[in-house]
Amino acid sequence: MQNKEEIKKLNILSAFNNDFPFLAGSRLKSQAFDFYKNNQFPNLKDEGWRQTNLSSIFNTDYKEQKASGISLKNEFYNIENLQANTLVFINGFYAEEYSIIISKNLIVGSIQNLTKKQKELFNRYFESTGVLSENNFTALNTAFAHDGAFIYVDKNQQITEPVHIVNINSSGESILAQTRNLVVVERNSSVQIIESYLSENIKNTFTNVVTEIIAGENAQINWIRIQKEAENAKQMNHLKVIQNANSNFSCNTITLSGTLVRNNIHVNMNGEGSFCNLYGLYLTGNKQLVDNYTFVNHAVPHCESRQVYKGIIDDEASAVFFGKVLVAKDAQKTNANQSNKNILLSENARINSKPQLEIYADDVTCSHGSTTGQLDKEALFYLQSRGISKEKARGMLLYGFVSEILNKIENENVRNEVDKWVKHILGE
Amino acid sequence: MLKIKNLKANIEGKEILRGINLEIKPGEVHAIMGPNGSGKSTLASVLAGRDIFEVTEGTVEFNGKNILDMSPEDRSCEGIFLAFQYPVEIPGVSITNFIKAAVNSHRKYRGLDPMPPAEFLKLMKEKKALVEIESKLTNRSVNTGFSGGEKKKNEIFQMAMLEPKLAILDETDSGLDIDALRIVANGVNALKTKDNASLVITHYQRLLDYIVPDFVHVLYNGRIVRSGGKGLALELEEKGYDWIKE
Ligand SMILES: Nc1ncnc2c1ncn2[C@@H]1O[C@H](COP(=O)(O)OP(=O)(O)OP(=O)(O)O)[C@@H](O)[C@H]1O
Ligand SMILES: [Mg+2]
Repeated sequence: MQNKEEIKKLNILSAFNNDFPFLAGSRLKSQAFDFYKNNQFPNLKDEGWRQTNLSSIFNTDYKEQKASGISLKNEFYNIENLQANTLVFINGFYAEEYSIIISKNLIVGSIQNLTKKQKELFNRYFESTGVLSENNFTALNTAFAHDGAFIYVDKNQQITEPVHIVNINSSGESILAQTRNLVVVERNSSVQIIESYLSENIKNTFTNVVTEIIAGENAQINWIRIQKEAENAKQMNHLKVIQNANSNFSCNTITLSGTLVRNNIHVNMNGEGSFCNLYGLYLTGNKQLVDNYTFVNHAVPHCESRQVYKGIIDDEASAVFFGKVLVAKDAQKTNANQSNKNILLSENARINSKPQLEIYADDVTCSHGSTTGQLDKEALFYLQSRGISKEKARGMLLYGFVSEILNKIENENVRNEVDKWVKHILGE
Repeated sequence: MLKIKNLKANIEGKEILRGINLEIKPGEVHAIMGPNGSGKSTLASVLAGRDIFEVTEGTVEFNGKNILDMSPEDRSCEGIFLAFQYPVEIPGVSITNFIKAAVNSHRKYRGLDPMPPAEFLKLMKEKKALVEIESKLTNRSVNTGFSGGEKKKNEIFQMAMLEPKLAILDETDSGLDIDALRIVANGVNALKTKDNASLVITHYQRLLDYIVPDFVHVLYNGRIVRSGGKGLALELEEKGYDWIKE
């Protein structure tokens, strides 16, 4: 069990004496710090965390570490054929030498670089989702993150080149990497954002990310997260979204690796006529834990949300899907559905699936469902009976199972790249 | 080509095949008939290598090789094809990808490189025409949401693509309308050569009007209890199975 004693062992306070520069001395910083001091990290007794054993995160002396002297090849982090604005962060620090901005009609860069020039804009939106007080991880991030991506799309702009936020960890020591992202898309604008997580030669890393997204009226945001860190990487990820009227937020979370990965997605549908699609895919093995927690808040009428999460769980791995849809009393004509499907490949694989609807309006269309099964033996035989080896057949079936999610990746180049990795993992 | 001797098989400790003897030579068409639950599909599955059935006795030789120890995929590559009574739905796997994987597995088994894409597409087109299946169908997931008839046509399409030496057709006629039955039967006949053979499982004479058997066998209670020429099927159609059960 965690207690204050153990939490102290996270030792972040001694390690992080550098201020988040633009927050130095600000009210937000002290607010985050106070929250952090006065609260505990979530633990197994807390709603939404009951299946999530975080003990491997604690009991470690983390350092922050600016990566120096590492050289990255473009192929390591670039997505084939993708022309994108690319922001690279190494161990949570912006790596300008690897980053490239190609679009002219948006403000994009690292928070630290943009904070002087865009101070007014930044202050207007930073923490406007109120993410710092979600829990101690978000508070910790708000108080101590060094940098992150700031993306601002002014009204009436269709951004043709996506923005690719690359997060790489590389260290032979125990490090805590924190980035903090802020994305604002003003009315009638659209953008595609890819967030990828990679690591190179890591010993013990804990990545704690917080992202705020504000979708203006009639804005379209297409978000893709690809988690492809090393086997032993740990990650806590919070995404908080505010949707204004007629906006469209679509998010695809692809988790291919990491020993402990928790994705929190919190969407506030605050404007009528909004759409929200949350898709997720997780392929887990060994002793991994992948945990997806979603909270979609239908605060107003006439919004539609849809969630489809699929996972394949092997070895002694476990996965959690906890999806909550809240429909407020006045949110009539809400259309919400949630589905979670899993294939367990071994006897020791575990899934905890809990789609939940909490509905206070009476004129709504809502549904949720969850299925868990094994690989279909008859289908396997069918493929084998056509000459396809058992291994290949297994890969084809698993790939067939997850292809629904892959097909939701809008960007073709990203889809092809993810497709390649997934096929590789599944032996297809 | 196929020599089955005293084949016995169990499922969950229950004996389903209780000593089957059957020999099929190249160029022959054999029909197997018999009441529901007599073991026809079980025989087909055992020949194709379904491992839920345990073979307890007997031998099966295919072109001189003992196939009972072979994996289903190797049996397929050796030239055995089973058109399933109940084809399985496989969501997310397109027919095109599926059949490409199958064709290339067969080629690999024979030491050949994968088929060049252009050649593959041409072959697909040709074979689709043979069983008159809609072009769009092959982009869809295998059997998923197919009508009964489409599933059966898809089986024969796969057979056409793989050109087996021995085709086992398990009630391929059931669920087909009159036109589809004719199309499927013509497809099977078009694939016929003097070197390959078929084993046709059916309940009805109407299929055997198109695919004319050289031999008809009656399987009852796990054994072949009667064999004869094509006349036997007509006799069964007329009299039912009671006289055989005695
Ligand atoms: N997977 C299985 N588990 C248990 N029993 C089975 C299984 N498959 C077949 N059997 C049993 O084996 C027997 C023979 O079944 P089989 O499917 O071979 O019959 P069939 O001759 O093909 O019948 P039909 O004409 O109805 O297709 C039946 O009693 C059936 O219940
Ligand atoms: Mg049968």
